[in-house]
Amino acid sequence: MGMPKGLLRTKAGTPWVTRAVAALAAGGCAPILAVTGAEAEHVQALVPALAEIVVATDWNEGMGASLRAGLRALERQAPTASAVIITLVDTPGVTPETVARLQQLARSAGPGVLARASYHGVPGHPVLIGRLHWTGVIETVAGDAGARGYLAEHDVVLVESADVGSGADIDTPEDLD
Amino acid sequence: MTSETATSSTPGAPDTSRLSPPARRVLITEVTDQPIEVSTHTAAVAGASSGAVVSFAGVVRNHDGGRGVVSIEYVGHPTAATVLARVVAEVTADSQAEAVAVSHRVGPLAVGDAALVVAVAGVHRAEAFSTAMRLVDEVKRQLPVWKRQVFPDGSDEWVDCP
Repeated sequence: MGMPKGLLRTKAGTPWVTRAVAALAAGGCAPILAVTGAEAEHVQALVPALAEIVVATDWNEGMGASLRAGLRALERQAPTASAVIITLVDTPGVTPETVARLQQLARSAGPGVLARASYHGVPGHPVLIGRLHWTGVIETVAGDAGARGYLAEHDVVLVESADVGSGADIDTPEDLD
Repeated sequence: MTSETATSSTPGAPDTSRLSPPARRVLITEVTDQPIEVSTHTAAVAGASSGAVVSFAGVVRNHDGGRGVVSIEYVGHPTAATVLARVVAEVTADSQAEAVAVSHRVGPLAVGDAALVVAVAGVHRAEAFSTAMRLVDEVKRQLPVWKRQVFPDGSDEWVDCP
């Protein structure tokens, strides 16, 4: 897109990263970590104070490197967390309601949970990963596929969320609203 | 028998003379699926120089948040035993207690079963009480163990902390 997605804003001027952090906070997540990579120092200026910043120094290896950095940081900062909810900066259709549904599932399903939001049956974001899966994800993330390989090999609960959000990936500036 | 022979050369007795103080003082750290008892922990830490032995048992109770609880399952992360040993070592290294023993049980537990047992021996009661309190607090704060409470109607709920 010609610039790091972490620097993009909606037409109204809200940075996407602000929107993502706000959705996680309003959906009941704590603590919140924001993993930055490309132009980290500029993106960090846009991250709301309620999120802690993790820099993935190997971010140019792909999304997997950022995921790995985030999970490792979370293991240190929230050693007893039973699950993590992961969203991307370029999925602005993720809403607090969707996050809250995944939170509720995490509470009822425990540290072995694997789930993700789906939109009209199509898997999307956020993704919910129980603590017992973190090591497996860290060991298998590769390149830009992130946790895709790990999720493909395990049973993943789909949490239908088309009624409260959208799972669209934004890949061109014209898609911005 | 003199004290020198008792501590350094009695055949069969463990030689603790070269251990650093924290290693000598941590007697049990265990994450186990077997029942854990206060009595074995207090016996492990008690010594002739200890004027105070404090013990704590975290026990499965029959209610939580206004609902009845019929049983609990604890699930530990594979690193739980390593984390427990580290937490206990950190607290003990910063303590004047003589000896500590800490165990956490995992698996299915019934009401009345002990899930967490801590025993601390100290020369005086103040350090034994404060070390026991810190051990319980830090284990609960840091140990990656989760519990699933089962309610009388068959529904269940996971709780983040032990």
